[in-house]
Amino acid sequence: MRSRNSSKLFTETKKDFKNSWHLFKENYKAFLSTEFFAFLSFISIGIIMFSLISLIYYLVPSLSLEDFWFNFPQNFSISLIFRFITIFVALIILFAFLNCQNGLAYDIMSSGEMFAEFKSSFTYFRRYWWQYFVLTILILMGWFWGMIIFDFDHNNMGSSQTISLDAFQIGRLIISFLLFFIWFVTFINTLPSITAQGRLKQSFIENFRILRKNAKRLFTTWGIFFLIFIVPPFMVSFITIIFLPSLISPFLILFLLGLFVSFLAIIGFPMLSLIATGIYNNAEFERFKPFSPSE
Amino acid sequence: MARNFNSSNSKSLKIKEEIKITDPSLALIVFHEKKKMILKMLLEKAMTIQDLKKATNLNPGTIKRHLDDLVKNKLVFVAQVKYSDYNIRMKYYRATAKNFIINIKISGN
Repeated sequence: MRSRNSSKLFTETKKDFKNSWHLFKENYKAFLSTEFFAFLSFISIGIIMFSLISLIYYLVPSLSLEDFWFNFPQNFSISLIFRFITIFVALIILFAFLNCQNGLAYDIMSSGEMFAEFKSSFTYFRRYWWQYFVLTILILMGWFWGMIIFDFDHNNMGSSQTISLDAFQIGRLIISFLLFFIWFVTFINTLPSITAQGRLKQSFIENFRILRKNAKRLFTTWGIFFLIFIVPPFMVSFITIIFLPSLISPFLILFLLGLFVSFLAIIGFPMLSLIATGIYNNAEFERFKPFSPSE
Repeated sequence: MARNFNSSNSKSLKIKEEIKITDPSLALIVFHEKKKMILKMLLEKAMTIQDLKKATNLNPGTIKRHLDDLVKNKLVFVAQVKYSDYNIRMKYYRATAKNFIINIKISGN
């Protein structure tokens, strides 16, 4: 009985990955264009903000460029406000656009047409930009909880030629990572839910309904997802922190990090949206009425 | 196991033996090369956009826009909605008639 249950569980996880991979291959252009646009917008915001600094610098001769970026204690409020605005705007664009991939996944799986177009991302951005931003921040907060709870000491990282972390700190780092994984699994289904039915509060209710009835499947599928896409760049960073760049070639570290992060960005993010939407569509739970544009 | 659902349109729209097209603007739609190709395929059987993509090598977005035009002009309708074993919704399109006859009279007065 137990082995039948576990084999059913792995069949479902296998289906999640197989179907998502197949749909990604069929629609990779829409997903990659959305990602490219998100990163391009992120960089553009930086350039626009830098142009604004130049303009203000030109118009207000008493200010210097350092007022914005370097003289932090002396020009606290100007510098802080400017940094906050820059980071806030850029992150809203980046996170909201990256999550429009959930909208593309929804188009593929639930619209009935079985394909997605890049231009649909703009529709989803207009409809859910702030909800996607809030949910992404919420999901990413999982990483910081671990750090805060275990009071991780950043000052010890990369400070000298010696090994910078003791076993206790390594343990804290691993537990933080595991806490992040649990947090991620706990909230990830809010994203397909908000895309399908359009209300933030209801997306949390649906998320917990899915979690309650499909916890094993969620942990198995997202566990494998983490092993494939998140663990490799984490391990490279982890090994770098332990053994320090002086003992490993920095080029090798950069190459490996670049490789794994690109793998995560190009294949991992679209797969995340497709798997989450696939689970949302297949999980048995009480659903709210789907969003209709006329509402 | 795929689940089948009849579309709400399909109840009101039965496939007719033939439809006579007398409106020149409708005839123009039918004579459009790509729309004609899609319509021809849908005369024989119901197909999804993915089936049409494989058969025509056209971009699915292009097929969707042509299908929307054909649906708007009641030349094609959503005959069936099925769900794959992974719960992926699949719309099946079908022509509203088995034959389309174009009959346009151009008179002097």
